[in-house]
Amino acid sequence: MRMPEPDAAVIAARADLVQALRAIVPGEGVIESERELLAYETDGLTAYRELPMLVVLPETTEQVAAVLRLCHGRGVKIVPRGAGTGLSGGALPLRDGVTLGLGRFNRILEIDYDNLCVVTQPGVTNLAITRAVEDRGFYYAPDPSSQIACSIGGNVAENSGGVHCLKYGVTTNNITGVELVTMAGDVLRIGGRHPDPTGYDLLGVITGSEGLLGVITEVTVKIRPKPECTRAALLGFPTIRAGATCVSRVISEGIIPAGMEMMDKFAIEAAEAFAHAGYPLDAESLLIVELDGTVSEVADGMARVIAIARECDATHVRENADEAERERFWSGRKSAFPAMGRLSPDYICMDGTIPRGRLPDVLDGITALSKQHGLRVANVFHAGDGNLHPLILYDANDSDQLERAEAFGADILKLCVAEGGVLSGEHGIGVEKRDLMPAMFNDTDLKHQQRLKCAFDPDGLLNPGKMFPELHRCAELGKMHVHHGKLPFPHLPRF
Amino acid sequence: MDAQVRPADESELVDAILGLVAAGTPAQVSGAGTKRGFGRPVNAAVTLRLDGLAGIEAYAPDELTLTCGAGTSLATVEAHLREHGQELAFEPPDLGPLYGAPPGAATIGGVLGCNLAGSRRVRAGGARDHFLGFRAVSGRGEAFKAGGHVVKNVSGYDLCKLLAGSFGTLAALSEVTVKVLPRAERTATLLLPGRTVPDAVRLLIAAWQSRLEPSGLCCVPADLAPLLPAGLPADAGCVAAVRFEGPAESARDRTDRTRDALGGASQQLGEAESGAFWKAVTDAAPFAEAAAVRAARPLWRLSLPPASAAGVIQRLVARPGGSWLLDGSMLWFAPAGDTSAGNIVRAAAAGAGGAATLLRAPDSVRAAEGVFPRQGAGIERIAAEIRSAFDPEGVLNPGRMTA
Repeated sequence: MRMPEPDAAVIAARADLVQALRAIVPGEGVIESERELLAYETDGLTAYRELPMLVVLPETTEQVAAVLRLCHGRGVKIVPRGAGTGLSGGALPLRDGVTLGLGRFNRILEIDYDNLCVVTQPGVTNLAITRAVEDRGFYYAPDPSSQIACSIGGNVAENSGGVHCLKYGVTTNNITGVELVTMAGDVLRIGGRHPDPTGYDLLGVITGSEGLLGVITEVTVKIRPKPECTRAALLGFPTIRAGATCVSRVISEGIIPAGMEMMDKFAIEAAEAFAHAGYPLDAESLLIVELDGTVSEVADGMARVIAIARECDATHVRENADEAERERFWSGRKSAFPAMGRLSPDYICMDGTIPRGRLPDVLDGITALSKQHGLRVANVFHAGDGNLHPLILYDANDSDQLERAEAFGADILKLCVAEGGVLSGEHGIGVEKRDLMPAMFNDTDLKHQQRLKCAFDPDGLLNPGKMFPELHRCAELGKMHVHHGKLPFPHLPRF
Repeated sequence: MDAQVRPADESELVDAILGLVAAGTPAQVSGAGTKRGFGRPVNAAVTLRLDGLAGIEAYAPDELTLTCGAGTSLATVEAHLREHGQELAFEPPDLGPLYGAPPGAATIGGVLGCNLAGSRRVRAGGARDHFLGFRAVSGRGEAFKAGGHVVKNVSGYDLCKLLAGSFGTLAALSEVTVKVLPRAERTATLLLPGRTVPDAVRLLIAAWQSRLEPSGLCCVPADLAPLLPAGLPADAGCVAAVRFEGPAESARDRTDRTRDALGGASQQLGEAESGAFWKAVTDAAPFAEAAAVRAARPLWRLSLPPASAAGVIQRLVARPGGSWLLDGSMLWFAPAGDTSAGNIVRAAAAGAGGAATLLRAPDSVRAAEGVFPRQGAGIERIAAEIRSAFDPEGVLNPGRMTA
C-alpha cells in the first residue's frame, strides 16, 4: 500500500517529540518502545501493517488539543484511532506519524432520558451505550456487528451502520452533537441536544470523515425506546432471484423491516456448519426478515411477509417460536465471518452497495469473477438496503493469493459502481478502497471533497493517505483560473 | 429591474455561473423563490432560478429512491410518490405562505437547500437525513456530484449534509436523489386539552419515550385554537397533540393505549382532520399572516432540547410575550408587536442549549440583526473557509448565511 513519503526530519526528531508529548500526557500515555507499538500496527484490516512512530493516549480534551497543537506546530502527522476494529484501514499507522488513541475516553458522561440522549466520551463501546440505558427500556439503534468492541467515536468517524439501519438509520441519523478538536488544536462544540444544525451542517460532514477532519472527544447520541415486540422469519428460496424478488416485494408493499439479511448457498452452508442455526441446506438463498414495533403491527406485518415469501416460491418458512429461536436465526448470520475463518486461513470482506433490483445480476457477475480470479467467495448482504458483503477466501501465506484477492475485491466494487451502486455502504474508504475512488468520482468531484478537508486541515496532517488517492495541495485547490474582466466564454450573456 | 437567468440544464447552469464569475456579479440563487425572505437579504441584481431544472429522472419504488431535477416542484414529487403509496418521510413543510408566496409552489431543491422538515421529524429525522446524492455546480462554475443513488453509502465525505441547509451559498443544485418511504395506511391523532404548558410538554415527552412510536408531538396554545377542529373550548389552556401513523389497527391501538397511559380528558381526530391539522402545524400556518402583520411581527424558530421547551415558552411568554406553537423540539415564536425582542429570544434558546433563527422579519431587521445563531469563532472560521473554497468569488447568495 502506497502511503505518503515519510518525513525524515520528523523521524530524526522523535526523541525530542517524545519529551514534549510526555510534558502533555504524563506516565504511560506516551508509547515509544517497539514491543508496545506493535499492538497498534494494524486495525480490523489486518492485511496492512505499519509500525507507528509513536502512540499517545490522552485522557482529556485539553490533552488532545495540546498534542494536536504541538504536532501541528512541528508538522507531525496524526492518525486518530478508536478501538481499532475498522475494516477499511482508517487507523493504519504512519511510520512518521503519531497514532492518537482515544481508548482512555471511556466514560459515559450523562444519560438524559428527558431529552432522549446520552452524552458520552468517544472510547465507550457502541454496545455499552445500550447497556447503560436498557434497564429503562431504551437503546442506541446503530448496531455494527463489532458493537461489543467498536467505539462510538470510531462509529462517528466511519458513519457505521449495522443490521438495523434500514429502519433506524446509520450513525449520522442517530447523533446530535460532538466535541471535536481540529489539527490546529481548536476545540469546537458542534450541535448539542437539539436536533437541527445551525449554519452549515458540520456535524453531518464530520460523521463519516474517517478521521481526516478532526479528533472527536465527545459524542451526543439519540436513544430510542426499545420496540415492544420483535419477531423474525427464516425464509429459504430455490434461487437467488426468488429471494431477491421477495426482498423487493416486501418493501414495495410498504413494509420496512427492522432487518432483512440475505445469504447465498456457500454462506448458508458455512454458517450452519459453524453455528447450527437450523438453516435449510437445500436453499440457494436464505433471508432473515425481522420486524419490530407493537404486537399487533408486527403480527400483521409478519403474516404479510410470509404470504409474500410463499408467493415467491419459498421452500422453507419458519417464524421464530420464542426469543431463543430468534437468537438462533441470527447466530448463523452473525457467525458468518468466523465461519469463513474455519474454511480458509484468511478472508477479506467487501462492502459495496447496489440498487437492490440489480442483486441477481451482480451475484452472477461475482460468480464469474470468482472463477476468473480462482478464489472462492461467500455472499452475505444487508439485503434491505442493498449493502453487499462478499467474503473472499484466500491464504495470506501465498503472496500471489493476497494480490488476487485484492484484485477480485476491486473488480467486485467496480461492478457495484457500474451497476449504479457505490464503493462502500458502511465500512468506509480508508486505505482499502482509496485507489478505487476514481471509479466512482471524477477529478472535479474529488477536488470539491478535498476543499472541505482544506477548511479543517489545510496542512494535510490529519490521517493523510486515507480516502483520497491523490492529495492536492490546498493552495492549489483554492485557485480559480478565471480573471476578472476577461471572459472565458465570450458568447455568454453578460448581466 | 432584476435580471433573471433560468438555465434549462446543467451545462447552461455551468455557463450561467461562469458568467457571474467573469462579470463579478453576484446572484440570488433560488428555486421557485418562495422563501426569499429566509436568511439575510442578498444584495444581488441577478436572480439565478433553478426551477427550469425540473423533472423526475428516476424513480424505483422498491429501491426507496427518487432522482429528479433540483428545481422540480415539491408538489410534482409528492404526487408521483403518492401514486405508488410512498412519500418523503421528513414531511417537507411549505413555508412559502409565511413570506406571502402562494402555497404549493416550493421546489425540492429549495426544501433541501433550507433543510426543512415537518412534524414527523421527531420520528423520521430532518431533510438532511433523506438526502442521498446530488449533482451541483459550485461557485467555481464546476459541475460535480456527491453521494449516490442508493440508500446506504459512506463513499467519501457526506457532502449532501453540507449542501442541505446551505441556502445556495456553496453550489447550485441541479439534480437530487432522495430516500422515499411507504406512506402509512392510517393517521390518528390524540388531543389532550386543558393542560398547562409544563403539563403538556411532560405528556409529549412521555409519549416520545413510549414504545408506541408517535410521529408527531405538538402543543397548541389557546390563542391558536382555531388550528384545531371545532368542538374544543377555546379557553381550555393548551392542547397537547400526539400523532400515530401505521396500519389501521396499529394506529388505533397505539392511540388508545396512549390515551389510557396519559390519562385526563382527551379527544381523537380521524384521518381527514388529522391530515389538515398536521399540515397546518408543519407549515406553521397560523403565522402565514397578511402582509401588514408580517411587516410588523418577526417570526422566530427555535430548535430546542425537547424537555427544555416548557421553560423557554414560559420565559418568552412572560417577556416579550407573543404567540407560539411547539412542534416536537421546534418552537415557533412571534413576539407581540415588538421588533426588539431578538436578544431575549436568542438568550432564551441559548440558555436552554438550543438555537434561535429569525425566520421572518423585514429586510432591514434581518440585515441589521442577522438571522442565524452565532456559533463561535472556531466554527465560523471553518464555515467561512468552506464558503470561500466552494464559491471563491462570492457569486452565490453572498451574505445570506452570515450570522
